[in-house]
Formats: sequence, C-alpha cells, structure tokens
Amino acid sequence: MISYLAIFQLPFLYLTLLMVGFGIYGNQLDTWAGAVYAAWMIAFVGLSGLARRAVANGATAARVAALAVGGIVFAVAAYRPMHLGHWDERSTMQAIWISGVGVYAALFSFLGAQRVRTYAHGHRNAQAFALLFIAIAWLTAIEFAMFPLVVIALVFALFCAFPEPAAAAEAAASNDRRIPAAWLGHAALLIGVDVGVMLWDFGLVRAWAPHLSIVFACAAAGLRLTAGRPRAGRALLGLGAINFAAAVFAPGYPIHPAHTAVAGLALGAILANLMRDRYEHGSAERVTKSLNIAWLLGLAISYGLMRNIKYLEWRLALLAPLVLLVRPHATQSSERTRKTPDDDRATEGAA
Amino acid sequence: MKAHALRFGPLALLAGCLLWCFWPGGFEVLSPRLGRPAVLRPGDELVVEVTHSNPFASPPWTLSLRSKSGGMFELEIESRSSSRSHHFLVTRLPKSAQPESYTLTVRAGAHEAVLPNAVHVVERFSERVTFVQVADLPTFGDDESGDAAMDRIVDEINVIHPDFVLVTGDVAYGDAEWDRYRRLYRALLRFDAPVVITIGNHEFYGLAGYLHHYGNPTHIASIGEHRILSLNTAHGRDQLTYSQFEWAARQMEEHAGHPMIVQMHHPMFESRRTEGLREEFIALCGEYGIPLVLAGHWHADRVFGADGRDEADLNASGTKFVVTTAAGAPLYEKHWRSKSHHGYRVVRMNGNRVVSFTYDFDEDGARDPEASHPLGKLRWEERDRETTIHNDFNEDLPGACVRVRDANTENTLLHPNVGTIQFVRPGDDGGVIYGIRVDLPAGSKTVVRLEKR
Repeated sequence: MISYLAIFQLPFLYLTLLMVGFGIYGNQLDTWAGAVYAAWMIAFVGLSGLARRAVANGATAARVAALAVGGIVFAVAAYRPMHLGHWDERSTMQAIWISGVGVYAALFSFLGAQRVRTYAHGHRNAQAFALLFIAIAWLTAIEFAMFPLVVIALVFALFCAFPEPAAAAEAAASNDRRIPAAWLGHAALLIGVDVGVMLWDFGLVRAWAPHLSIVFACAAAGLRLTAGRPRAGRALLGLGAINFAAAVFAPGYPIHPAHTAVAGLALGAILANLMRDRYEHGSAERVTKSLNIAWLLGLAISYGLMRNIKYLEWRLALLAPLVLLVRPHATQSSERTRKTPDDDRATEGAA
Repeated sequence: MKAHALRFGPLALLAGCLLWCFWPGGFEVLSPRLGRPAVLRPGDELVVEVTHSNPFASPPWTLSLRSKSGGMFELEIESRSSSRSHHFLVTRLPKSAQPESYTLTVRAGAHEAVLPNAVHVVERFSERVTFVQVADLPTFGDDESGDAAMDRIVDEINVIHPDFVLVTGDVAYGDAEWDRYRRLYRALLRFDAPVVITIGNHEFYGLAGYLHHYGNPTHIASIGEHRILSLNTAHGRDQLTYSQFEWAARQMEEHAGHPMIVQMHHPMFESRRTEGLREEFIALCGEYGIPLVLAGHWHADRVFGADGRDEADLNASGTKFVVTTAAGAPLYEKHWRSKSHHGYRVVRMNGNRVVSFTYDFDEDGARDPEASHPLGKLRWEERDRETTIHNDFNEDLPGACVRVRDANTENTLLHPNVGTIQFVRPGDDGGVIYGIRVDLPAGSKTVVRLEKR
C-alpha cells in the first residue's frame, strides 16, 4: 500500500494542493514567487529524469531516509505559516518551500513506481487502501485547509519506515480488450477539471473538504469494483462521461455529492486500467507520469476556465476527444508474462 | 540499531515537526473584528468565534473590552462550545457599557489577540437606520496623498454619523501589498460607526493581506434587526459561485423576516463576474424581499431593477441593484450615463423599506434616480474649542456629529452652545475631542462652540 500511496500522493495531494493556492490567490507571475512556481511547473515534466539520476545507484535505506528527511523539512516549513495564517503569494521563501515539496513528491512518486515494478505488486486492495488514505487526508482539511501538505510528509516518512516485500509470483498478460492509454489520460484530465471546480474557493470554504474526500473514497471503491471486471470498468467510465456532460443541463450539479461520487468511481476505473497497463508495458514511471500530467492539466484547465470563460458549455467540447479516441483493442504478449492475482478470475474467485 | 534509526527516524522527525506546528498554541479570532463587528446593546450576549492551532486543546480563555474613552471591562465567559479547533465563547456585555466602539482582547495562555473596533455598543436599536456605502477607495500610494484622501472620506462620513458603514471592495489599489492593507486598517479604525467590509477584484492581487486583516470575505453581520450579507464576486469569472449562492440562500432563509442588505463588489448586471447564477440570484432576492443589492466596481452610479433595466422610479417595488461611484479611485467614463463624481451613498431605511438612497445631484428639487452623495460637500474649520461646519448638501443632515477639539487638559467638562454631547475622548495629539450631535440644515453654516458653564 505504501508504494501506491507514494505514487498517488503526487497528483492527488500535492498537485491538487498547489492548485488550491493558484485557485484562491491567483499566481502573481510578475513576482519572484510567481517565477519560482512557474519554473517548477515547467520543470515538473522533466522531474522523473531527475528522480532516476538521484537514485541511479539504487534506493538504499540511507538514501531514502535522507530524501524523507528533506521532504519532511520542506513540507513542514511550507505548512507552518499556513497553519493559522494564509499563503502569502508574494513570499519567495514560501514559493521555494512549496516547490521544494513538489520536487520531493515527484522523487517519492518515482521511488514508489520503481518499488511497485520491482516487487510486482498487483493487489488492487493496496491501491484502494492508498486512495482511502488520501480520502482521509482531505477530510483533515476541514480543520486546516492546507493540512494535506503534512500528510504528504507523512507519506515520505511511511515510505521510509515500511519497505514492502517482493511478490511471490510472475504474471501472465491479460487478453482483455485494453482501453487506450490516451483515452484514459484524457478521462483523468476531465476528472481533474471537475475536482478543480471544488478547489476554486476551497481555501476560503473548507466545506469542500468532504467533497474531495468523497472523490477519493469513491475512487477506491471504483478501483476495487473493477478488479477483474473489465465490463464493470467500462460501464463506470461511460457513467463518468455522462456525469461530466450532465452538468451542462443542471448548473448546480457539479457541486452535488452525487456528481462527486460518480466522478470518483470513474476515477477508480481509470486508475485500475492505468495500473494494469503498467504490467503489460512494464513502465511504471511512464504510466504514472502520464497520470500526473493529465491530472495537472485537468486542474489547470479548470482554473483557466473559471478565470476566463463561461464554464459549462465547454464541458461538451472537452468530452469530444473521448469520442475520437475510443479504439479498444485486445493485446496478447507471449514474450513477457507477468501475472497479477487480480487479473486472474480464478484467483479472485478462490480468494 | 542503525537500521531502525534510518527506518523510523523520519517518522520521529515528523512527529516533532507537528508538535512545532500545533504546540505553540496560537489562535485567530474569526469574529468579531474590524470589518465583521458585533453591534450590541448593554447586557446583550456576545459570541466570540476563534480557531486554535491545536485541535485537541481547550485553553483557558479570557475576554476583555476597552473603549476609546478609556473604560475597561473584563468579560465573564458564560458558556463555550467547541468543535475541534473551533471555539465559540459566549459572554455578555455589562449593562453599564457606554455607547461607543470597543477594542476586544482575547487571551489564551501566553497568546493574545487585540481587535480594535470589534465591538460597538449602542444605546438601542431602531427600525430606522441610516448607513453609508463606499467603494473603490483612494490608492494608498508611495506618497501619503491616498492616506489623506481616505482620512477626508472618513471625516465626512463621521460627520453624517451613520449607524454603520459598508465598504464594498477595491480597498487596496496598486499592488495590494500588506503595507496598503495596514494603512487602510488604520484609516478604517477612524470610523466612529461599525464597518462591514467585503472584497473587490483588486484585493486579489494580494489576497493574503486582505485575509490576514479582514478575514473571510463572505460573511453576514447583524446590526439590530438588519442583516448585511457580504459576498465575494471578485476572483475569476462567474464568481457568484455555486457555494456562495447556496450559502446566501441558507442565510436568507435563516434570517427571513429581518431586513437584509446584500453587498458585493461587482454589479449584478452587465458584468461577466456575476452572470453564471444571475437569474437564480435575482429570483432569490425577490423571494426573500431583499430591498437593496449594493455594488461598486464601475466607479459610476447606476441603479437597475430586477429586470436588468435602469430604474428611474425611486419608489418602484422589488429589489434594487445599486452601483455606487468611487470614493477616491479614478472615475471611469465608460459606465457614466451622465457625468459622475467621487462620492458615497447615504441610505436611509425604515425596517425593510428604503426611504432614500440617492441625492439630488442636478439640484432640480427632486432626488436623482441614481446619483450618490458627492464628496466634499461638508467643509469645516477647526479652532480650539470651536468648529465651523458648512453643509453644502441640498438636504438636511439630522443628527450629524461635529468634532470640536479642546487643547486644554484641565479635565473640566465643557458644554456646547448647540446640540448635545455624543462622546468625549482623548485626542491623538493631546487634549480632548468632543463629538457634538447637532442637526445641520441644507446649505447651512453652523458654529459649534465649547463653553464653560
């Protein structure tokens, strides 16, 4: 679970918190602080390369501990002024702390993806529990809006404290029709757009915290529901698309808990398919990188829409790529076999 | 051992860091404070809302009030309720509290918060209220001209002596740096009346400073039977957001039966900031009989009816959506229907009925359908123990409050030749300041003199 938590904390805790700051305060790019944030956002794409070099000689316990300590220091230093205060958008030091947390978050995301690949974790339960942990993290934001920043530090510490064991078995590739990664990425982007609606005034209206919690709790449920059930996964994805479009006809729907719950379930189905792709392509970093970028883009688009144009009608335009990208096809790999207990229905049934 | 240290050391470090965040025991007073005051009568209940840094702590709180004239009261906390880090401290004003503004001091252990003008005591509430709305204030620039202009606005409004003052956003032009908010804070403290503030778009160039000084921009204030609902239309587009709309609807339902005034920086019509839920909000105002929705932003006066058309009939029923010109910011020709002016809006209400909210700017003997009161129509000259005041408005100002300074420190109470004493308080530069209640007829010159008896 810890490994998946390290993967998910980057998009669902750190990047989401980052957009809370932008959504509330606006980014003053003409200040030094704004320049630091902008530089981080641009560098974000290349951070996985940085991460790979940082742990090129292996993620030894000492190295992981050193990274955890650094991440904790940056996270707490960033959080403390915001505990009872406000994010001073002009503070260069604050921008450095926040961006520094992002660097460590990306490093640990990479380490988590590496550990998952190395140890061939396949249990959807681990992924689901990681998402539940994130749901609880957002619940703490009812009291102190930016507290999930401390939870990120906790993830760093847990990753160091609990190195997870190797899995016992090798896996066989699934013959199920695979949903194209581009489709899944765009679908993740749309969920990010919806979550962005809640982030827009989250720092001032902490009542949004339970909504965010619902997204990730339902994502855990959706991910678990679609374990070994590809049709259920596709049904959830279809329901998610309808859910996204429905807001055009009911303006208050985006903030309804039902909308949030369905979006969460769809997110779970997306993650289930993305995580399954990891086994068949063997590149955990690539899959998680695409998730991070899609999520960040979704939040950024939501921020841009909220600032500049009337939002609702653009939902239909944003849905269009989903229609264009639907090209499900079956894959079969005899050269590489990796077996995940969740893809094996007999194993699931026996369990 | 070393392996354990490497594994669990970061966890221990995090635990220590958390203590560093929570342990110091600081707190923030959410209300009352300047911009969200408590306006009460002697003996009324006062609820102080605080958030504490440690959600598991229940510190010993103490509350006290200090008036501008030097009176001090320790308040006994009658009851308290807590929800994790949120605490509601319920106390009661002493029956001997004099009508004036008070500084609230809240203490918990070694920490203290001092909130000037957080509590205002009035003798009694009346259904008839007079209040002043200002928006788009002067720029607090690198020189002190903005401070002087703001002081002038405050002094004029203090003469009018309203029951409360609404500040409808765009209060910190320029870069909205913390220093500007600090200077604005000092200026707003000079108001005699309670001040209720909301946020404008310019504050979003430096939102942290606004939040630090004035708290959450969306709030509701109770002044007697009247309620003032302040909304935030200011960040991004379609910013009458879903969450605000729902909150506003709940407040209107909860306070149904009380006269309610809404203030938001952006006008309801012809503004992209409010178009997302415009029709729903207008319907809501109609459903709950909201008489006035006050705005600024355009640096010009306009008045709309609920149908979005300019409203020429002052006595028309239904919600009026009123835009008030800038008090000090540059005027914009774009929104003028006739030539505009710097000014503020004086509103008189009797319960939920709006008695007047415009001024006879063209001096044709009838109130204009949209003009606010122009700045600079009240002039005065001060000497020791005498103030000569000119009311150049073409309307009477009943119950105005004229300041007269007494440089002498003999500690002898003087008496005015006209009017009654409203307050006596120490002056900033020594001596004593008297506030004298006097009626100022339209176009009059009145000499208010302090005499020994």
